[in-house]
Amino acid sequence: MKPFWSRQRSFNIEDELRRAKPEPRSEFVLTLAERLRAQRHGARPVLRVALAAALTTALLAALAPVGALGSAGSAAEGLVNAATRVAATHTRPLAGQTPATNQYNKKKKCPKGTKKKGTKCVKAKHGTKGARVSRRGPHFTG
Amino acid sequence: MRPRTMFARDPLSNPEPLIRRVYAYAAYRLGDGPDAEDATNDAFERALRYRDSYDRDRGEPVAWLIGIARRCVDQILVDRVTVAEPPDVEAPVHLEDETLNRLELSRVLGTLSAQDRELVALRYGADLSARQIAELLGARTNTIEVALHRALERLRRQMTREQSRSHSAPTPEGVRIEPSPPV
Repeated sequence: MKPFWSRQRSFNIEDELRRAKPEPRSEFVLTLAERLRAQRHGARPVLRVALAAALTTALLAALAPVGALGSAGSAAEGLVNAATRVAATHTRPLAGQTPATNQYNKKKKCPKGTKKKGTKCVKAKHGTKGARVSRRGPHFTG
Repeated sequence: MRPRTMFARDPLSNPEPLIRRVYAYAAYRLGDGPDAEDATNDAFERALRYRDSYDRDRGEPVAWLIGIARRCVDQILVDRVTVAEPPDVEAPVHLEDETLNRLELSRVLGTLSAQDRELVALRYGADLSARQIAELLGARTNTIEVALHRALERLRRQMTREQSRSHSAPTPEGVRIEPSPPV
């Protein structure tokens, strides 16, 4: 039998090199590829986080034109109010604070020129703030 | 240098075609069989370990992988204590033409120098372009094209010589070819 380069009249060595390219066993390829995939996925959790972030951003971008951000904001505000209402505690009972006490239980004010001393209003000393000026102008000299 | 992000393309995202090309490259240099599988395996192990060093701006994943595979093949060539024998060639009359062609080509490839064999493996095994080979070897594209052309010419000449030898004398079975020294 003649060798292939003499059997073919127009023998092209480049074609022959490409055609006769060594092929690995399919079992070898599958095993190695599986191992690579397993090690690749195990070592890259950051990609999953990135994917989650990208999906969230895409979702927000898609819903933004229909007022999703405003709706989300008001929903959050409502949530905060509800939580505050539930969690709030009153320091004193409010039973004594009625409209009547608010109107009639006012403190008495002292008249002008007097100052409160105990329960009575006494005349303020001369020179103190709010004291009545009894004399105006210079003293009469005759 | 551009900062690497976590969104950079993973060079090993689609491994099957890459495995085939790396294997073909290794098999053209080492011969089809377990040594080529070992070299391919080593190359992908290293690639997985150092995949963060892959920069897609500098080329395709296959060129990066072949760069790793070259070192693995060189290491195997150095580690070979005994001289490798070419696969035993059985009586050609019992083989299919396709298999026969491969065996003949493999035998003739073994007669090439290590440098020629490397070029043939990069071009026809790994399917790299002359420009990619030039980048890998740090040479000019034109230099690679000329070197490839000469390597093919030597291969063709060697085949003609084999042909004339086979005509003049019967081919002995299991011809031993001295492997060329590593690059």
